[in-house]
Amino acid sequence: MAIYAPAKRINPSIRRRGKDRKGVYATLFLTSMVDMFAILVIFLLQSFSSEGELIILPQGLQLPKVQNVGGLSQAPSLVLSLEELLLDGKVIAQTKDILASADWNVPELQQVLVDKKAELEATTAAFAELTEEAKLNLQKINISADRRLNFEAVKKIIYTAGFAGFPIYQLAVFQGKAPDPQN
Amino acid sequence: MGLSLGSGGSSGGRRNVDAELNLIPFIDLLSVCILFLLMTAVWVEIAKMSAFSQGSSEVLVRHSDVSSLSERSANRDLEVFVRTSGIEIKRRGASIGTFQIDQLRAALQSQSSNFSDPANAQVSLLAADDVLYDLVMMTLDSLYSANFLKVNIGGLN
Repeated sequence: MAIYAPAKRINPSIRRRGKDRKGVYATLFLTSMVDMFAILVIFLLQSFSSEGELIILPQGLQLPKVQNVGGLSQAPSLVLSLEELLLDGKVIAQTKDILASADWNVPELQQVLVDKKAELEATTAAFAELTEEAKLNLQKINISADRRLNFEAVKKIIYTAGFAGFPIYQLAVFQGKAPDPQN
Repeated sequence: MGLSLGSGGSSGGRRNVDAELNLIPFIDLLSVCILFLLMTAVWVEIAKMSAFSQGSSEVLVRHSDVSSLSERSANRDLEVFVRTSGIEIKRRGASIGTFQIDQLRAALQSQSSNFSDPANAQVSLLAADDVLYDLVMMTLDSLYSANFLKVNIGGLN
């Protein structure tokens, strides 16, 4: 292969286009664009959920994976990660403190849940009659616990929630095949 | 104007059924739809498994006028004890056997066939402190697979 002296361009044998240089504006194919938009809208409408995000999981939290699941409903949300316990996004206690305590009850959580329960009952009673279904819904609580935790921490949380007036637990999970519990 | 219908009623007496669509508002509408749906999209689908509270002998729910639940352990049809060594099933106090998690589903399925209405059977799931929460949930999943739906969950003392 011939060796050329360095020039402005690496290979001067390539013809300059000169006047027929391509413009900087690209032609937009409207039909294709509208098709693409329509496909996007259909896809997003299909995956649309009117309930919104009921639980916001903190970074790093791993939920258990199970096969038999139901749909979550609106309820106070308790999140127990490896580091901390949160109620509706507010930090209530540290997980290591919960594990260190010999008591089954978590006093910090109990007081907050009792207040929450009173608030929910007052709000519900103010807007509607407390039917049996409404009463049942007031006893529900969403619990999202990290799958790597020992049951001891979860046990303390569910007992405290039960005693504070939330005895129906909606345990948050992902649908799927469960991995090996030892991992 | 976004849409122009034909003048209609002209020669031949037939209306022109072709509509002319103004692309600019149409693309605007699609863009707004896409933005709205993208912003409100829920990408992480979280589901639930239901379970109920239980005490060692009686559930005591305080601080609430609307909460009252009382179930005695004697009323439970099936008890499942989750320990690190294995999962023991007891029916009305009598031990059925101890199983590993991969054998549990089949064991519970065979127990389910002994109940006329397993969905209404009172089932108790008790787990030891050192058991992983994941294993407890897999046990609960196996109970659901065997159509045991009324499960009380608690800790082993």
